[in-house]
Amino acid sequence: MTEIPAGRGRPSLRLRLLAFLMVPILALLLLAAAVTYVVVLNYDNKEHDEELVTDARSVAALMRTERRAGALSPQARYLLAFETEGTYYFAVQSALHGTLSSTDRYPAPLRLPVADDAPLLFDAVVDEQPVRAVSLRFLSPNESGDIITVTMAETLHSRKRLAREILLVTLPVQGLLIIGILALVWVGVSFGLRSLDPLMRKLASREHGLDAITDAGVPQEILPLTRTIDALFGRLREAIDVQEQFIADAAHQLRTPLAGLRLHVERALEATSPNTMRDSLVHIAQLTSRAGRTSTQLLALMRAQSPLDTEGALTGLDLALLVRDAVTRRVHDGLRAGIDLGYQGPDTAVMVQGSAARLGDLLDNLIDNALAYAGRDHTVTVSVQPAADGTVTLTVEDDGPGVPAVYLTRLGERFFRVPASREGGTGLGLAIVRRIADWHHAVVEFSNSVHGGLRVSVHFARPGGSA
Amino acid sequence: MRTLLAEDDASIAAAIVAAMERGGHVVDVVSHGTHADQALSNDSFDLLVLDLGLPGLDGTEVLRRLRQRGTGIPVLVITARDALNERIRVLDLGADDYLVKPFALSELEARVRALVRRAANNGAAELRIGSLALDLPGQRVLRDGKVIDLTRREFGLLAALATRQDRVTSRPQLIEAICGWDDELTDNGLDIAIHRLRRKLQGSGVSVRTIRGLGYLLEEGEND
Repeated sequence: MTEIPAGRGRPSLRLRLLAFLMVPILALLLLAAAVTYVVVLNYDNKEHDEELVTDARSVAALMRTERRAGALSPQARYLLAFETEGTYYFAVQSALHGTLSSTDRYPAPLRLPVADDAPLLFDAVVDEQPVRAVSLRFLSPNESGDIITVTMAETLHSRKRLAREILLVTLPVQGLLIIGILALVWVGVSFGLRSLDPLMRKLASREHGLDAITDAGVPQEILPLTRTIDALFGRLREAIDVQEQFIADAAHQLRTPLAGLRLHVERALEATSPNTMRDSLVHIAQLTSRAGRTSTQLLALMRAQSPLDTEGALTGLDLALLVRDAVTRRVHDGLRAGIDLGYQGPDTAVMVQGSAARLGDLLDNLIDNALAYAGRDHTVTVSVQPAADGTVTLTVEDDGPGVPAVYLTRLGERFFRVPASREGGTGLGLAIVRRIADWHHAVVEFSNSVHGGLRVSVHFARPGGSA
Repeated sequence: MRTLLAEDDASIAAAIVAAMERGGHVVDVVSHGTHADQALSNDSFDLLVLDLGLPGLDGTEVLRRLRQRGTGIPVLVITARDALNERIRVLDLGADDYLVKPFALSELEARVRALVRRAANNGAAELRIGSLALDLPGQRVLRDGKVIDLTRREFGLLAALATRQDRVTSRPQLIEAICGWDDELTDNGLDIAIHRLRRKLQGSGVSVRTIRGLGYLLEEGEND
């Protein structure tokens, strides 16, 4: 078994699968990271908000217990000033005494919360930095009628830090996850393909067998492939059967003239009179030309049958030109046989889809046939007739003796010869014609001409149209 | 006529030699491709009959080398390989004619005669068909030394047919060939010209045969 190199440009299952998986996996992981970030950030915000509120409440509680009007106790001051994380702003204001204490700048809420009610959380901007702030109002315990407002704010820096740290931990883990998936796909494809090994071994151990492979325990995903291969095997088997039959027929066909040759050679060698010898030689000449013709025809039939043929490409060609050339080439053969061989058809181009080489073979055989069977002093006409619907008919017609109607349907069968017809035919010419016509999706029709002779018509479908 | 026959099958070679010697050829036989190539480069021949399936150097190679040396002698190729592609390939390589085995000796003789005649007529000032001699520069036709009176148009027709001897000449080809002599020619005009030419050729041993639907053929011998 030869290794097929994994050439560039050859599609790879692994790469396909990886490409197919990578996009959705990356998208999912990015989405997961984003969701994690948002959730953590949200949670962290809540935490910080609660801390802010707690700080504000602590200041308020201290001020309630200190019972000093219009000033802050040292404890409260300490509590306000002591803040390690981020930048911190605060303000303690009295309705009667104005600002008791504050940082240089501090945010003010758009509306004041209700006194002795829940603290108000709000977003604001200080020093062009976004801040989160809380305001708390309560009635002063020391001085009736005074209302104290405590406002505290912090920048957001410390809030995103936790989310960022979590993200930094998550990303490498996700990267590892991706690499893990890639590795699994890589190994998995090899593992999956290993299920084809029994089939491969089975095929490798075959020499020429063309039995079906579908039952060889192949995975069900591969069944469409193996069924296609089985169908191909089936067609190959048929083709081989046909070839074998053909070789047997061919050998038989060549054996007959060879047997005759041998008899006449013996007769000639033993002959004492020149007349006998001459008579044998005449037979030998006939038999050899027959054997020669048979082999030529067999090769032509072989060519016509073979689908794998470089001469065989279908192209648009001018049938009228092809026929004029073919008939012109055979004019001398016609003259020698005493037959008036002529052409009838347009001088303009008549296009059909075909192979020039094969149609040449077809014409040669039709003309051969007509020249051989029409008889001396008869007429053979090759004509090309384009029809209005785009189909084209090629006809070879003679005014010779024709073929009895009962045999018309058998013309074109391999090795069939009309009983009691002229000696020397191979029974292959019209078979070749039929094969070549089939190959062109053209239809051959054998009939007797109004002039009495045989008329062979080949109907070509419209170029480009269906037959 | 000195002919080289390159054929490795002794019995076929013997038959060909006998037939060609009867036809007045002096035949040298080689049975090996290399020997054929050597003989062709050392000596001069008037004709080469070449079997493609030669041992040593393949026949197509012998032919290719021959034409590469610029030798223009006529070459008749004999082969058992009968595929149309093969035929085209060999003719493209510079063979003048092609004969597929098995063939009749009479066929070989006819092809050789045609090749030799064509080679002799090639560029010749005088064409000979039967008892007629066409003097191309003088635009005269002589029969047994006596001039046959033809118009320029009739002479043009005869010359066109004679230069394509053995081959059918189509009506368009004829019209094209004689338009140099006459500016324009209708289908009818061609019919009339052919009719007159035929009448003047009567009794000359050369005649113009109509090939139905295809054109005309110049033949030795009287007919129709």
